[in-house]
This record gives sequence, structure tokens and C-alpha cells, in this order.
Amino acid sequence: MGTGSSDSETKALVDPLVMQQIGQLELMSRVVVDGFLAGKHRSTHKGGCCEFAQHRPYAPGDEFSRIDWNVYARSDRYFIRQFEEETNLQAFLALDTSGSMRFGMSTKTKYEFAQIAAACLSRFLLHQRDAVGLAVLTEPAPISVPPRRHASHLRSLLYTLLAHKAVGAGELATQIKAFVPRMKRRGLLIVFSDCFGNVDELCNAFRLVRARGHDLIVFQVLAPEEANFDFRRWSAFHSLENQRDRVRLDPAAVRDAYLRNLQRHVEMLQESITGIGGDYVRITTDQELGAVLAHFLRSRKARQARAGSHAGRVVVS
Amino acid sequence: MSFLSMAFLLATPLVTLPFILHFWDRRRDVEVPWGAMQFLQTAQTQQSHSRRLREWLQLLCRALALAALILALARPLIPGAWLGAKIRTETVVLLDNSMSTARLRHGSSRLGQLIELAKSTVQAQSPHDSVRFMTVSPKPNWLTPVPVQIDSDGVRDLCNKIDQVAPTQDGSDLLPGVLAAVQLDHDPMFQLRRIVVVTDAQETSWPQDDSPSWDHLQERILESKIDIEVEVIGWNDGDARTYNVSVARLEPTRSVIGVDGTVRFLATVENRSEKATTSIQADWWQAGELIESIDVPPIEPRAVHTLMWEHSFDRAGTYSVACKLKVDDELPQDNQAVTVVKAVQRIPILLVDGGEGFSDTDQDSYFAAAALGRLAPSDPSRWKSVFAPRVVRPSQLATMTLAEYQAIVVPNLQSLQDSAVEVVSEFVRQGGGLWIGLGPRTDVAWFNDRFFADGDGLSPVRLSYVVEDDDEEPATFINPYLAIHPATRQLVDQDRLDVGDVRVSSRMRFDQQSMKTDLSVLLGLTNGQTLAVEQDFGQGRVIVQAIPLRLQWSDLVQSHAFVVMMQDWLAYLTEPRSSRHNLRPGEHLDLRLRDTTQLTATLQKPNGNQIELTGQQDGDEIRFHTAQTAASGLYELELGLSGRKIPFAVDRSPAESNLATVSRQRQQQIINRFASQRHGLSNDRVPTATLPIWSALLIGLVGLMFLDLLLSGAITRQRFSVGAIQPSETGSPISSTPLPIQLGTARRVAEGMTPQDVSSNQERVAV
Repeated sequence: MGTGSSDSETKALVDPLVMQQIGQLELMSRVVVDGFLAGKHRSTHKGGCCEFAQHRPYAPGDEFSRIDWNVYARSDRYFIRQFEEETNLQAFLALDTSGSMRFGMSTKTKYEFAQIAAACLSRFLLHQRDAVGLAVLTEPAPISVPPRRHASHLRSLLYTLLAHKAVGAGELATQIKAFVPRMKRRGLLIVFSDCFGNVDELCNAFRLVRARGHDLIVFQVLAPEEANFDFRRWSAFHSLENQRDRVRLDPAAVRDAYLRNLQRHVEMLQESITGIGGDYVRITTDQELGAVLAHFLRSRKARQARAGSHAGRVVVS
Repeated sequence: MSFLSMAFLLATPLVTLPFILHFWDRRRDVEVPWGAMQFLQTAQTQQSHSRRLREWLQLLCRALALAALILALARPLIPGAWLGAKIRTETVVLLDNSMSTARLRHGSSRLGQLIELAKSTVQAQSPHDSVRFMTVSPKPNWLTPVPVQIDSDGVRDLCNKIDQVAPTQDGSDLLPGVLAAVQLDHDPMFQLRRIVVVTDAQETSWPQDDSPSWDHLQERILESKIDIEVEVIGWNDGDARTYNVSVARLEPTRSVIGVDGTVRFLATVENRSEKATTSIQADWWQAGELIESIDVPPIEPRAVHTLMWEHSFDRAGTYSVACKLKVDDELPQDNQAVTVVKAVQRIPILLVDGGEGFSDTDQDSYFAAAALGRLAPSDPSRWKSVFAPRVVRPSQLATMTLAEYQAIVVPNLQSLQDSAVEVVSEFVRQGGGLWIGLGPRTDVAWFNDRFFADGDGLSPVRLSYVVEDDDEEPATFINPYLAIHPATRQLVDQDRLDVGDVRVSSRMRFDQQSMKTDLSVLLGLTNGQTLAVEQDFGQGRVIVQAIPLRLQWSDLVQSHAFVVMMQDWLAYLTEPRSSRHNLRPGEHLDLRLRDTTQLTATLQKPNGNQIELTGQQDGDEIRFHTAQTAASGLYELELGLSGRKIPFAVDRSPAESNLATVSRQRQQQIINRFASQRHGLSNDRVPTATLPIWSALLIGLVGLMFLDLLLSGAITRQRFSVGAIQPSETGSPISSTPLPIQLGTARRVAEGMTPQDVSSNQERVAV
């Protein structure tokens, strides 16, 4: 794994243009994540002294060292100082390697597009001192790279990305369910997939991710041909996941029904993901990746800032 | 059902073209590796039956449209009985208005009876039929260029036109008229063409020995696309007891004469009756003015008498001269004949004399000039011919302007310069006359090389050698009876002329091998050899004579006939340059004038009609030309508004004066001939009404194309009514795509919370 990939190939994954557009942005987890190191994310571990949060009355059992003696001097009462403690993010990038991700006619394949997106996000997260792990959702069991926060970890992530190809059939929901237990700490799961398959099972898997307290971002990657299905001539479509699946039809004749089915699928998926508090991004491979990611990060940060003013901060004393 | 253009039905397999293209397009499908199979498979099962139905309906529309187009091009006709239609008849009435129909019997003319028959034929047609009308004399002429629909106005107008038909002075052209009626374009609205020939059944109208015309007519009838029925009406019983005297021919001895010169007119009076004529008076008219009346002696039945009248004109001009008989017979139209003569002051000609320095009688031109009365110009009492010669030397020919002369006479040919030969050749090509007398100074080799030129030169014969008198015994004389030629018509009159006494002692022998079988010979010799030949060269004429026009080799110039010969042959040679005023029917009228100020003229025809002519510049002359001379009689060409009228006469066929009608047996033969032709086409078939339906097919084609457009629009709308799945807008919040969030948080948003509030609450719940 990873031995066959050269440095040039791995560098090619981190698109400088993409990095230029998203480099100044921060991926902030909207939920509290557990981290080992102080970072930009709020930690569930209270008691650090990085940022003052509030005072509370002293209660028996509190450490004397946490009493704010200045307040005591002014008010003759004991108050305990509480601080917000910042921690680093533990993010997992999960790539769907089912055969359908191999599709690409006028653009890169969906898998190549997802590889680049994952590589750029990895680079970005490591740059902001977050721990980044990788999950290759493949049969029979997902392959994961544990999260690390040092910069040299990027290389192993990229090697792993390049070492796998999109091939064969695969149930994304099953693989996500199998992978989720490996995320020991609460963190961020970023999924790159076309999200084809049973939408109910897929939503159940995402619901499980959220139930374990992980933040969830789903990038649904589609090819433009899949999105508009603008074929004119009679064609024989054969499945990229199962060679025995082959249909001959007049594309123009089934375009209506096809697009309705696809529309219904993506709407259910989007509704389900956003309904459980995850982020859903639908992206086609003919789009400019940097612009999409930059917009996503900006809008996420803006929403996080607004959410911070409404939601109560988690403080530690 | 029948088709007018059956060949288009060969394209019927093209009807399957839409289906072939459809299935061929399906077969050449494209292999597409595909990821989203789950949606595709589902979509395939959802493909609506109505949509398939529309597609097949569209294919069917296209196939039917092609079928309609092919059928429309094939022009189908369906039996009229399918739609209850009746047979529609196209009747063509041919009225014989030849001169013979003008005969009077019991106070009424035969043409009047025929007109009544024609009118009753027209009035008997059904309202849904049509009628065309044609007169057949002198040539077939449509009185109604387009078919006349049978209604009250149409019948009345047509009958009025028929009433105005007048007899001509010509025969009828019945078979070509029937042929023209047969060859009319077939109007598919009609199922039967009925050709009704209304004729007086004159014998000359139905030539018995004209088998090629009958065969041609029969072929055309058999090839016709419509059933044709020919009917002849107006037959009357053959009646040989007719009384008719006619002027069969009137002609002058010369058409161009000199002023004050005497011209002789010969009128051939023919008694076409079975009884002798009595007390007939012939009146001679000049330009509408009675000049003289003479009595015609009794003429035996079926006999001919020639009247001769001499006249002179004291002024130059073109005169019409008519001979009219005062006789009470059945056909007054043929009791007169007209001819035209032209009186001129002089006709310039050239005499080429190579005997320079000789005495008068030894000069080549001496006897020719003497024959033209030009030896003593200062003596006005001496007779002078209209031909005014100018004597020139052979060396002058090359540099002269010959256009002002009508003819060139070379009495004793000697070698000419090549340039002179060219000039003379061009002169003859333009209509000039050339008379060559061969003599002892003629170089045989030079003549054969320059004048015969292997048959392309001026001479129609090659010369062999000079035949001396000693070579032949007994003595050789001119034989005036060897050939009959217009130029020798007077020479053969042995009672008055002595041409048969002219001894020829030497002559130039013509090469027999070079003489064509149809060579025109003017004079011969008693030994059977040829003395003078002539040919047309370009627009002019050339006479080559084996002896010179001088007192050498023969005593021709000493004979009385020599003067007549000079006059007649020069008249013959100068004729092409003169405008012909006596024409045969159909011969082109051609008038050349040096007065270039007259650019328009009006031609009045014998029937009173007038046509306008425009003169065309031709060199330094104005030329008026027309071919509308089919009718016999006197034509008058009025130049501009000057009132000056130039007469032209078109000869009448004397055969039309024969009033004999076809016998009953012959009538039956003609009827049977037409009947057999009709039965040849439809022996077992009765004409049936057919209706063309290609108009309906074309309308159907338009309807099918419109339906195809509608179906195409519907299918296209159905195909592209659903837009593509759009990616998340990069310019709007990606994760908060309105639809899902609103669906997932609809209730809470309804409570006044923003989606972000919902997310924050969820975070707190998670914590």
C-alpha cells in the first residue's frame, strides 16, 4: 500500500490552486471535539487556562487554586474562575471506492476528483494543526489511517489515497457502519462518495455517525453526464460495479424518468443529512474544486460564528 | 385505379425508410460504462407506453407522408364510379372552311350549312364538358386557344365566333388538323376526347394515297392517354353535276420588266364541268382598275384554255394584275387569279470583256450588248432592254463594288486574278447572278482549279477539253427540248424562235463524271451532250455555258433566239436579288428597301386581317420579312404611313377548284379507318370516368407533416421537460441548500427559528 506511488503523483493530488483558495480558511468543527493538543477547537476538557469564560460561586470540593482572590478581595466572596479550553480537531476523510466512482466521461472520474478533494482538505487540516486520518471504504473492510497532526503525516495519507482504485461493488452504508467504531474520539467525518445505493440504509449509517457525536460532512460527487443525462443516440449502458448489468435503451426516452429518480434520491439524501445536523455538498466533477471548497469553508465558518452567539459556550472551571 | 406517371411507383419501397432508419439507428448504439445504473434500470421500467405509442405514431406519420408524396407524383386516377362521377367529354370541332365550301347551291353556301352543323354540335354538349374549335384552311388554326366550358355565355360566344368564319381561297388541311386535335395535352379531368370533323367532303381534302399521314395519325391515336373518338359530319352525296370554271393559273412571262416594256400574262382557264362553257368574259385589272375585257371562247368540258394578254407599264412600280372571269358558276371564288409584276427603269449588270484592243465585233461583249440594245445609246428610237450593262475589263473586277449590280456576264472567260474570283464568288453568294461563257481563251486547268474547286466552286461541272467540229459527225445543233427549265420557257417556242437552228461547231466538253445526277441543265445539244448548266451558289445563281457569247464556235449570237435568251436568262439570274412578289403558300415574304427611313409596315392579308411588320437593318437596306403567307390571294404591304402599298401574290392551288366530292365508298372507308383506330385503343373497354386524387394526396401530405411536427414537439417537450440535476451553487450556502433543510426543519423554522438555530440546538443536545 502506497509503495507504488511516486512523490510527483502524491504532490499532484494537492492541487496548489485549490490550496491557494482554501489556505486562509479554517475548518471548524461545529461540535465539540476531543483533542489532545490545544488548537482552534473547543474541547470537552475543562480547566485549561487559555481563555477566561466565567465566574461561579465556590462550592465545597473545589480546588483552592481556582479561587479568584481578586474577586474575593473586592466582594469578600469566593468565586471560582472558569476557562474555555481549546483543543485540536480529529478529522477522518472517508473515500468511497465503489466501481461507480470510476465514472467520468468529459471530466476526471469521480474517484480522481474525490482523491484531489481529500488530499487538499488533508493538507488544509494539517496546516491548522488538526489531526487527520483517512478511511478508504472498500470491500471487504474499510482501510483506515489513524489521525495524526504532524505535517509529515500528509505523505502517508497521500500514499494511501493513491494506492486504492475505485473498483467492484460496495455498500457505502455498511462500510461506514463498519468504520465508525474506529473513531475513538468525537471528531469530524468527511465522506466523499456518489452516494448511490439504498438511500435509507445510507441515511441510517450517517445517523449512526451523528449519534456517536461526530460532525459529518458529505460531499456527493457526481459526473455532469449523470446530472444531466444528455445522451441522444441509442446506447448500451453497462454497470461499472457489475459487468452483468447492461441495458440498451433510447436515452432521450428515459431521460425524464431517470432525472426524476436521481432528483428524488439526492433530495432524500440531502434532507436526511441536513436533518441530522450534517453538512451536505453536492458537487459535479466539472466544477472548480477550489472554489467549491472555499465557498463551503467560508459559509461553514460564518454559520459557526452565528451559532456561537446563540448557543451556550461550554466552559470549564 | 390508374396512374399517369407509373414510374414514380418504383419509389414505393421508400415508404419503409423511416422504419429502416429507426431500427438502424437503434442498432448502432454506443457502449457507455455507467455508474448510476440503479436510476437507469428504474427509469427503463417507467418508460411510458403513451410515449412509445407517440413514437410509433410519428414513424407511421412519416411513412404515410412518403407514401402520399410518391402516390401524388404518380398522379393516380380513381374510377369515377367510386364517387358517382360521370364521363366528361372534351369535344374538338374541326370546321372545313376551304374554298370549296364557298360553293353556292340553291342560293345558299355550303359553308353556312357546315357552320350550322358545328354550332349544333357545340350546343349539344353537356354542361360538364368542354369544347375547342379549329378551322383547317389553309392551315389548322385554333379559334379557341383554351377549352370553352359549356355554359350559356361560353356557348353563345363560341357560336358568334363560328358565325364569323369565312371561306379561304385554299384547300383544307384536314389530317394535320385531326392530328393536332389528337396531340392536345391530356386534361385528366376528361375521360373521352371526341373529335368532330365538319367538312364538305371534297375529294382533295381526303387524299387517298397519303398512307404515311394516315399511319402517323393512327400511331398518335394509339399512343394517346385518353380515349379518342373521331366523327366526320357534313358528308353530302357525291354529285358530279357541278358547273365550275376557274382561272387555274395566272403568270407573267417575266416578273421584272422595264418601264414601257411589254409583258405577257398567261391565264389558264379551266372548265371543271361536264358541259361546255358559253359566253365568258375575262376582265384584266391592274391595281384595282379595269384595263381590258376580252371574250373567252367556249371551253369544252374538262378542258383548258390559255388566255394571253400583253400589257406595259409607263411608270416604275410594283403592280398587281388580275384576271377575272364573268361567269355564273357554283364557285365564284376561283373565277379570278392575281399576279404581281415589277416595272423598273433599269437593271444594272456587268459585261466582262477580255478582248481589249480588238475590233468591235471581236470584242467579247459586243453581241451581248447588242442583244440588250445598247450599241447606240444616243439613238432614242432604238429598243433598249431593261438591263443596263457596263463593260469592264477582267482586271477591274477585283477592285469594283459589285453590290450595285444584279448580274455579271462573262461572254468569253479567260483567266482571272484570284482576288477577282473571290470578289465574284462573294457577289454570287450575296444573291448576284453570274453567266459564264466558255471559249478558246479559257484555261481548262485554271477553270477546274478555281471555278470548279472539287465541287465547291462557282461552276457545277469540271471541264474536260475543247471538242472541235471535225470530231463529230453529223453537225451538232442546239436541242431546246433536252430540259424543261423556267429560264428556257420561251426559247422552246420553235414557232417563233430559231434556237433549234443554231449550229455548234466547237464547244467546251463538260466532264461527265463531275456532273451530278440532279444537275440543272438549261440547254443541250442534238448529240445528247450538255450545252449550259446552272446551279445555286449561296443566295445567287450561276450559269455555265460551253460556248462563248460571241461569233465563235457557234452562230448563236446571230440567231433571233439570242436576244430572248439574253433577256430570259438575265431575268432568271437577277431574280434572287429582286424581291419576289409571286409566292407559293407558306413561302416567306421578303422585301428589301434602300429607303432606310421606312422602319415599319403593315401587311394586309387576303382575309382582311392586318399584321404589323418591323424592318430590320441589313447592310444598307431595310428588310421586311414574314412567313405568314399560308393563305392564297393578294397581300399588300403598306410602308409606314406613306400610303404606298406594295402588292404580293400567293398562288392558289388549282386543285381546290375541283368540286368533286368523295364517293360513298370512300366515305365509308374513311369512317371505317377512324373507327378501327378507336377500336384499336378500346376494343373491349368502355371509357370510364376517372377522377384525379393527387390534390387530395398533397393536402394529406401537408396534414401528415403537420401531425409529425406536433408529435415531434410533444416528444421533445417530454424528453427535455426535466432539467439537469444542478450541483450546489458555489455562490450560495452549500450545506443549507433550501429544500432539504426546510424539509428537515420545517416545523422548527415555523416556530420562528432559523436553520442555524436548529443546528446550534442540535449541537447543544449532542454535548
